[in-house]
Amino acid sequence: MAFSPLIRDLIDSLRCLPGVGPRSAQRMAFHLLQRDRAGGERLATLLERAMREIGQCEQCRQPTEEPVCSVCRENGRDPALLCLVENPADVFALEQATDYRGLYFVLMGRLSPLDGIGPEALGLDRLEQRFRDGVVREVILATSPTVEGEATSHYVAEMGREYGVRCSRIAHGVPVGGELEFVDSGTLSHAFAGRRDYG
Amino acid sequence: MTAAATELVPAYVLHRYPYRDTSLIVELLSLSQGRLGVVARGARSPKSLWRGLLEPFQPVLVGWRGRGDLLTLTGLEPAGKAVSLPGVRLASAFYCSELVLRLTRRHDPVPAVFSAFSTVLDQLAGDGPEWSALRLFEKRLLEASGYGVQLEFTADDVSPIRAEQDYRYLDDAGPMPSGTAPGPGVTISGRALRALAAEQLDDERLNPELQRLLGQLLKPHLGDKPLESRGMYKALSRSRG
Repeated sequence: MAFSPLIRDLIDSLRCLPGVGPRSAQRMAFHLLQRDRAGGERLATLLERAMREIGQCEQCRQPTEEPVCSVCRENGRDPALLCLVENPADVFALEQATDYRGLYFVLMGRLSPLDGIGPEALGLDRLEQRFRDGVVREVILATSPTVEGEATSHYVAEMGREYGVRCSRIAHGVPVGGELEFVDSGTLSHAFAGRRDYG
Repeated sequence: MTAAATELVPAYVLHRYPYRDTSLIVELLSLSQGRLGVVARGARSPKSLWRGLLEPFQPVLVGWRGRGDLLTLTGLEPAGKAVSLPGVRLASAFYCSELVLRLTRRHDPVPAVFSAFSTVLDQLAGDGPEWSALRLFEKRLLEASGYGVQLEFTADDVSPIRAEQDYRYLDDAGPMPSGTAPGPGVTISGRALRALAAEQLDDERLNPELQRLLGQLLKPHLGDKPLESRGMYKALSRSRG
């Protein structure tokens, strides 16, 4: 049995979601059609609005429908401190875990030479503009500890040096509550090299 | 190409990209089988034991199963410490990876490519000069891929290259004494040719002409697309002017 063209299109479109194959797409489509028309309509309106209105924050590149996002607008944040992260989810994680009161810059990716993702794609020209403005005193590099993350950090650090911006990087180390025996060798060697005075 | 590799073989990660939700497709350079494309299932999931191992330039031991173009990674262990490359040298290492990806084919075992890659990574991680490591790698890669580089004799009457003479290197023939061979090619000194032949590069003044020569020789094998890592090199070396 073949589905009508519209249902088939709906199922195909649902498959653009991550982790959704033909089978789950079909289940989703029939769930919305048979049991939750109201929910489906709300989803449709919201999706349409979101796709049309959500852009990037002018300052930190986070996705937002406002010109400047709520984190950048918030009072009491120190504009001299800038934390560099790869994804919007990283901002959320840092906000939850730390009492950091500076601003963020979201790259929405990282430098990846072999895929042709260069500095322009990450809005690093905009970051340079912020360095040039002279407000930022310290940039905290919080890119992921991969080779590409390292390349990204290096690039930003060089740029910071040109404008006299101090650069620091978050530590790489042993997870709290973890046991040394089970930590992978790369992390352990970073942790060992980056040891600190104690007491 | 074997259906199942029981032993783990030494390899380097050349490139990797996300596949599905938690997996990676990894382009490996292995010692015994040359370049391999493998799927590392679940490698990006939070609990994966392979996390942090499938990084470029990290020496690993790999096992796989399957046949055909894309294999399945079944075993992965670190083989020694990951090389740590500072800033600009990281871009050079990406350049070397990209050259290997462009010049070699999958399932074409050439141990010389593996050893050249391993050597250049060690050299880049060390304190020695970057330029000579890269020029030697380019030369060795060309030779290992079967594109011989004529460095010791002239192309016409097969007389030995003299250090004090200038030559014109013709793309498909080799060096000719300067002035005797008009046409496309690169001008290069005998001294530079001899130094490259002997793999003794200690005079940095030779670098520009060697870079031009090797660039010219590599060009036909790189395909139409420009090398992505060149832009990265320029970007990362920005502070040097």
